Amino acid sequence: MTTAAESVLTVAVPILIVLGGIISPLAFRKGKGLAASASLFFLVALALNSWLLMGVQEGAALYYPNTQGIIFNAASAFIVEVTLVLGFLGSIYSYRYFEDEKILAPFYALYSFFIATLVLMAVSFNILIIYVAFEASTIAGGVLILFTKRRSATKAAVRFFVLSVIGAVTILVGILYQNSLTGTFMLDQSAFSGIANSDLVLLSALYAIGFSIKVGIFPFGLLWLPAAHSEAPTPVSAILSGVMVQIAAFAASRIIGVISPVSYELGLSLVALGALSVIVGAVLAAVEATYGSKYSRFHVSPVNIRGIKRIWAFSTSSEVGVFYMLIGLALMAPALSPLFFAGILLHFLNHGLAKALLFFDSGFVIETSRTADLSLLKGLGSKVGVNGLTYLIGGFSLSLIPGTLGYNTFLEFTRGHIGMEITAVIITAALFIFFTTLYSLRSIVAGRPRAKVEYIDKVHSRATLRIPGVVLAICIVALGIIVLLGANGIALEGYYHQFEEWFSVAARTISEPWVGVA
Amino acid sequence: MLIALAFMIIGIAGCIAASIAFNFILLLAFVEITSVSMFFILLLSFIPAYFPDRIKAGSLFYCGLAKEPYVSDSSVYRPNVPLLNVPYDTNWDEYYDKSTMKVEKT
Repeated sequence: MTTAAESVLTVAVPILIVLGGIISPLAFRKGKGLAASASLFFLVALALNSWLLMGVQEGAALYYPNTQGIIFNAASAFIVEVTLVLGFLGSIYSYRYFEDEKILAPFYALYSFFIATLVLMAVSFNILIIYVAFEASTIAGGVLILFTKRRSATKAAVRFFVLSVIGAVTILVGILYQNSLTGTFMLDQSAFSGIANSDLVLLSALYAIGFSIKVGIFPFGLLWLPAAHSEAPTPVSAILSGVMVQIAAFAASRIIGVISPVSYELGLSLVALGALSVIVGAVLAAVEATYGSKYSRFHVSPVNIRGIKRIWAFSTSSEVGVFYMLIGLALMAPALSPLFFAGILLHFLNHGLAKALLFFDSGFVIETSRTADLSLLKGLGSKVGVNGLTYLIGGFSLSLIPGTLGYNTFLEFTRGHIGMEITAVIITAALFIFFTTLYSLRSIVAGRPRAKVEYIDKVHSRATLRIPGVVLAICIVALGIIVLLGANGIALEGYYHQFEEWFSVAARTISEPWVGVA
Repeated sequence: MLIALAFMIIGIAGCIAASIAFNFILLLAFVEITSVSMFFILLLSFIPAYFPDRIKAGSLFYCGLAKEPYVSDSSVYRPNVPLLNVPYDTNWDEYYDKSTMKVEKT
């Protein structure tokens, strides 16, 4: 049990970030000071979370007294850590991303609020707090999309708002239904014992559908995800794709894991939905890279392009399918659910880092070449520099190539307990992403425009836009090498087994908050 | 707009407080305040962006007493970005920066 003072720490991270978003724009109106101040708050929150994470590792769990609505355990702490790392990198990236320094103040305020709502979603075991954070993230995320100031961004924001509200209403119906069944809003396994399985199945289905819209599962995801991710400013795209959709998937896995209905059919439906997302998203990413929005569709502007960010938006729609497949598998084989839940955390890490990297690097390419359209892009060649390599590492990680973090996802899906059909779906999607990465990089480095392009001004290059890609690439390769060597018994086996063991304990804390607590 | 924003923030804070205090009635009240203010803001912001007032430039012509109309339909048909209240970036409307690049489609 923790003291009240310790319990306050559970909400200290989101409070710190929100404070950073309020204080920084008040203290500094624009420029370096504002970016440094907002980033500093992220850094302090990250340091605090890392300290709490170490405590959690030693068997502690922090919680809100009386209600236990917010529980800070291994899974929550891990998700918050990834969120804060990406949030901090996005904060650094934003400083030189916007040319108009006047909009930096409202941007940082909203950006910080957005990250705080996502953190709140990750640490909550109270469905109402998850719902409120879900709605707040919709508002903040939707407005952040508008910061590109394009007409098409307005359309993308409207799509995002409307679909998120539909998802939220479905979740609200689920919340009221849960309250009528259990009399509580807490996600506590004991509250659901003794309730008819048919009710639990219906409740889980409502939550699964409600969250699937925000997660970006097929078919809902295609309606808003490519538009919003590609129209948003790059740091926001990185957070939308690397964090927001994943936290929504994490919340869905927590809720369904707690309710744990016994239904093979529901599990199969989630696996089927996930598999469809995985394949359709990967194919559309390849179509976007080769033929453009005229054929891949789901575009919000009358001008057809081969959008760099649209490629990775379709890929996100594919990757989130993996989460629903894992949730479905956990329902189909409850005895193996800890393994599948560990897969959810590992995929969160891999996809979060790799996709944020790809968006950061795509943004760097757009800002350097002054075009978001691969058809108009003049081969950047040596100007891409180290970011060509980091782009490749991000793409390879999503293609599940050994030596990157993606190899872990490959191992998850090729172990004996998963059917051949599912393995085939994952590997097919990985092959499409592999092709897409190479093809798009070729266009960036050596592409020839399909129109006559002439630069009026000299090509811009901003060094700070390179940093997040490099940092993330180093993380992906370092962790990937540990996995590659450790999993195959070549070296670093001790580290790898520690890594595996920690994830298997953390996975159980997704739905059982007190597991591993001393 | 500012009043609605203030209500929205109060609503969100209230929702969190009511959830922690476990007061369902209060929570629904705050959810209602938040959603009403949110929809008010959305409608107020997006309707002008989607259906801007079109001004007939010709109507500004003062019977030959002044010069020819110096504004065109396109120059007045320009609502701001909803919620941010800044002008649209028309340079990037076609996904490339026209101030930096000249593109001649072949």
